[in-house]
Amino acid sequence: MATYEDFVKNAIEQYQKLPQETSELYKRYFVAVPFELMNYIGKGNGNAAEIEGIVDNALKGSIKFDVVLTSRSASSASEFAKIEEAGRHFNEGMHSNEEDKYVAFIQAYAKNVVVINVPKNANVKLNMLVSNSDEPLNTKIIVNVDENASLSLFEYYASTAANTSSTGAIHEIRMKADANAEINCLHNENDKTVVLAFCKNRIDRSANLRFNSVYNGGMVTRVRNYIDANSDMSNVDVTEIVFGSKTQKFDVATKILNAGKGSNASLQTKAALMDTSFCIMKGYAKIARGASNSRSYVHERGILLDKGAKVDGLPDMSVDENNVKATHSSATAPVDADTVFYLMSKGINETGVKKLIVNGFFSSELAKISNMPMKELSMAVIKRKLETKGFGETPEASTKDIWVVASDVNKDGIFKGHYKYRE
Amino acid sequence: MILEIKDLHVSLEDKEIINGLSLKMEQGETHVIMGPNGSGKSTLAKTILGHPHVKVTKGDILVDGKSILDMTTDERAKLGLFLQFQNPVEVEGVGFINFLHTAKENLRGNTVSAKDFMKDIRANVSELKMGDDFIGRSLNMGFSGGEKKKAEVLQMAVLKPKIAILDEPDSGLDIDAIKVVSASVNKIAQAEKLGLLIITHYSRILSFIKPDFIHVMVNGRIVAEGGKELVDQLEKEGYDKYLK
Repeated sequence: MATYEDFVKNAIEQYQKLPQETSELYKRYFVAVPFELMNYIGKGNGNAAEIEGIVDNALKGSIKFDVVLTSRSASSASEFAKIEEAGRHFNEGMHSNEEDKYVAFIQAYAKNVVVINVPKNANVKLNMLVSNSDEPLNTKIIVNVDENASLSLFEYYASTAANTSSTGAIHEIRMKADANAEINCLHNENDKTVVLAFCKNRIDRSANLRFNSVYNGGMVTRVRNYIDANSDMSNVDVTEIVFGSKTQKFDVATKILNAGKGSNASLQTKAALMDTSFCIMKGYAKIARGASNSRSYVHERGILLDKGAKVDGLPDMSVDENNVKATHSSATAPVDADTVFYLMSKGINETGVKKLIVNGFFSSELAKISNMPMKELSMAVIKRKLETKGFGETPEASTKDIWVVASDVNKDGIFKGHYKYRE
Repeated sequence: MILEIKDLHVSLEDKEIINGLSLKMEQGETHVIMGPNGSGKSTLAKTILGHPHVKVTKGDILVDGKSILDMTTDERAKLGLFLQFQNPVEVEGVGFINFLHTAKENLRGNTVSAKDFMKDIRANVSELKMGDDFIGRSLNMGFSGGEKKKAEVLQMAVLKPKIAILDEPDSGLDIDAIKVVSASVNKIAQAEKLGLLIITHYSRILSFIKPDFIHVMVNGRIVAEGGKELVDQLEKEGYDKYLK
């Protein structure tokens, strides 16, 4: 039987061997990580108390973190979340070293694993703070939600790095029958940080998983999610919000799969970009043979707020079963000059107009998020970026002048404006 | 407030739309610009508020003696100019109330109490005979033609400009709606000493809003001016004699 040392050795070899993009479908469309991340391992420091103090001060106690992870330390104050050594979980994961260069990187250099266990019938809410310093921070987050249990998890990703660094997280989510989970990730790392995010899941009959991500921070963001409605009557709903400024680059690839009969899988990705930021949205949906009466939905939208910004939308779909409903769409456009003129003619300045348009653009997705820390802090970081173009600092979670129109999403989770929208 | 347009020449996509138009109006006066399709009336409205696609090639637009050509659109609105759009744009996700509250705070330059603001809104919604559901909807999204016009008048009532340009305020309205909209416009004009520059093809709305001056605009310039009698003449003879 292979040892953990063999596993790590293999992971390092895979990291060195693999190209940055292995997918034939996307090999011409990806954002390259511009340097060797392993060169930065072992550098810098990480002080849990310091970062917790900075974030707590900004949030004025409105959000209490149960789990705090930094590049050099990890702690949990919750009975439901345990910090364990990476070696204990090396051979039972859903992710393998061979599948992606940066999965291998995280596997090789993860010191800790956060294991969240939600027992049968329990209802658990957890807030997690993850902050890298100059030392890259690699973490594996294993979530187990038992039968008929419910989890609302908020993960806030910050950064204190003064030099090139990275934060990498692998999520592995297992849900038993009738379980419910809302996993929320808000990425607000600073511009020295490369963001690496991976997720896989396995869910049983009639379980519901909502996976919401806001990508606001980071120099380069690379996302590879595989979210599956594995079992009969299971539901997965993925929401991705990308808000870029300056020279930020985002490569967001998410694959949803219907494998169970009567299952639902939906993916909504929205990107608003300023300055010369760039985003590739790669939404892929598959309905497997046997997944009859299932529904799949991929929806990508982009708006360009400045001439130098760019979005590539690459939706794709593969349907191997009859008697299913499947739709996909993608559209990107610059902000319409007539819309800006209309709003400015009523007295709103250009910054105010952009604020209205971007908040309006994201409002239907934000309205769907039921985790309040995620919703409020996401709106606050978006507001901060609209006002200053900055990111990476934790703003006050004040949403005084931000309005979300909840009615913009109907009971089926379909957006107003979509041709299938019904009140 | 005095709005003065001097020998204005405007091009749009390299085509001259307005050539040598002059007009002067004061706050409290009601001016009407009438003219056939394509005479440049809507372009004039957009030019006064500084649409980015129109290019002033000659002449000037002055407010209280100072040129506004270098001002941004929101700066012109802050002077007290308002444009009621012929075809208001639809903005998904932006709540009508959120938009209007933001506009009000921007124009005032300070915070506007949400309570007072909503009181003002509800009073005007009632005046304009608009449905209650209107308040919670996205800006102009799914509004009927009549609702859009009423929404523009509601904005005017709340934002309280000094001179308002109404671009075809009667198009898309049935006769009852014209009466309601006209009554609101008259009430606002009287209460706020509002100057009105009404752009229209037809004389219908002028049965309800009394004009002080009529200007006939053809091929980008004013070709005739007068009082209400000019409207009666246009009703009988049309624009033919000005087109020749």
